[in-house]
Amino acid sequence: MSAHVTSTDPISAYLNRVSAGLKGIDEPQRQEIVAEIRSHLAERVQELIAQGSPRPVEAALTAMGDADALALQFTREVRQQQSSRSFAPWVLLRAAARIALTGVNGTLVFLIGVLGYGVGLGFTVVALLKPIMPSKVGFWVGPHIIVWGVPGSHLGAQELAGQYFIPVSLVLAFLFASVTTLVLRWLMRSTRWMRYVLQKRSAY
Amino acid sequence: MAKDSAIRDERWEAQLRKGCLDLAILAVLWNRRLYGLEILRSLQETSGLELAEGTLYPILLRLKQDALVESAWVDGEGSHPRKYYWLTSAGRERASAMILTWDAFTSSISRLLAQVKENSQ
Repeated sequence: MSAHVTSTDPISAYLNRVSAGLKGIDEPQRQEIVAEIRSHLAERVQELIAQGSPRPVEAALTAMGDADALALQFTREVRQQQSSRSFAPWVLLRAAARIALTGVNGTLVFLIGVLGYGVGLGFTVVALLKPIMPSKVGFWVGPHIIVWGVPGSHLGAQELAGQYFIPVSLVLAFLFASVTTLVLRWLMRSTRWMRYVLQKRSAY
Repeated sequence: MAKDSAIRDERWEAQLRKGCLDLAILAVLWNRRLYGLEILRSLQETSGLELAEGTLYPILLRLKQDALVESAWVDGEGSHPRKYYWLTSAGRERASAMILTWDAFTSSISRLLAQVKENSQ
């Protein structure tokens, strides 16, 4: 079914609106969703005709609810599932950002993501900076400072990592990114409140 | 004020019903294969749960994505194909776990409410 076909038949028009609203859902799944709604509506119309309803098509469509709201509910379910299955930090962070808008718990998830990926990015940046500024970047330990990276002043401090600074930084970057990804995926998949708050924002 | 209160009550009831929809759907599928409209009818008849018809399908999609239910199209029963759903073994396990949680939750709330009822008499 094409998302852009227009129709004067109310059921086809409704299904086209649902299909058009199923953004980010692949074509086979979109067709499956539309086919199921079509099947439901066909059966409901038959029932309503048998019951003597004066406007069976309109009644069936009303009972099904607004097409755009229905498409939005499907889209949210699929996107959340896609996010929870993804290993891509930007997909997980984008999903966490959406959840952050829904309350304190969602904000906490987003902050975990930002913090985890931020620290991972930080380790990557200092590893990249090491060859450019070898005398400034390092693991500096002194009487008043312990810094992995570029301290404001390393007067009196000693650089302890030496040639291991870059590999250790990259390993730490990988570990932070991996653990953050696993934690975000777990939170997306297992927390019931997350689904609850997402659904709460959709039409019911 | 009375109207606001009624709206708040309705919202609370809607949230309460929504909270147990997953469990209710898994429960009606416990021993049966049903298609969407039959699930709606079963929910209505056995538990009085009435939901907007469109609401069911996104939930079924999620349950399927979570591998709690499986589905297949069946031709030839009516004038159009129907998509039937049934529980997977993971769905059965999840439903059993949810029932235990539900029982514990309702027992504790009932104990609390029994105190309130006692004090209000």
